[in-house]
Amino acid sequence: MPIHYFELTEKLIDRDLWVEKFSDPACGAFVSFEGWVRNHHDNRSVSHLFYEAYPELANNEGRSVLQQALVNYEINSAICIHRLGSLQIGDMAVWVGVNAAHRDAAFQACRFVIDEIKARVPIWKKEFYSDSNDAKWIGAECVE
Amino acid sequence: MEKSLLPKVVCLKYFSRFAELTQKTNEEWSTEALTVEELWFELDAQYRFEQEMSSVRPAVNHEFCDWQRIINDRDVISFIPPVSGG
Repeated sequence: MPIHYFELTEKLIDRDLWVEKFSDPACGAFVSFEGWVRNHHDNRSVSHLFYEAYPELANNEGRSVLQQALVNYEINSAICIHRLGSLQIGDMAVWVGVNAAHRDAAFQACRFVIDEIKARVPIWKKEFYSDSNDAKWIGAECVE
Repeated sequence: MEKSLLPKVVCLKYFSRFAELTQKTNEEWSTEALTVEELWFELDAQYRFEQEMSSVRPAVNHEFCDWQRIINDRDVISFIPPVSGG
C-alpha cells in the first residue's frame, strides 16, 4: 500500500529505521537522499547551523509535496524527515526515501521531493561562522 | 467591497529574520486592514522588514493564501520569508 510520511524532528535521523519501512517485494528500486551540514557557504567557514520551522504549515506543505510525488511518478512510497534545532558539521539535516518498481521513477521522484522541500516548505536555516560571531538567516537577506 | 471599520484582532506568527526584527514569535494585533496585503503594508511600516514583498508568501490559519485573502477576526496570520530548508 502506498505510503507518504513527512516529519520534523529535533532528534538524530536514524536512516536504518526509515529504510526498513521500504521493504516491499513489489519494488525493485529504492533511492534516498541525505542532506548533510557542510563547513562552508559562499566562501565563508561555517561552524554550525540552526533550523527553525513553522510546524503546522511545514507539515501541511511537506505532506503535499510527498502526495504530489506519488501522483507525478510511478512510485510506491515516499518519506521525508527534516531536522530542527542546532546541527553540527556532518549532521544529517534531511533524509528523503522513495521506492518504486523501477529505478527511473525512484530517482526522479527523490529529486522532485528534495527540490520541492527546499523550495516551498517553511523551514529556515541560520548559519553561524567560524571566523566571527556573525550569524545569518539564509534566503532572507535584507533589501539593500 | 467596503472596508470594515470594525477592528479585527488577529494572531500574528513570526519566523526566521522576521522574528528577530520584531523580537517576537507571535502577537495579537488589532487591525482595520481588509486583506492580508493591507496588513503586510501596515506591519512593514511598523517593523520595516526590508524584504521584497515578491519574496514573501502570506499564510492564514496554517495554509498559504494569496495577497487578496480577506482577513477575519481571530485569523492566525504569518508572512513567510524565503525558505531555506534542506
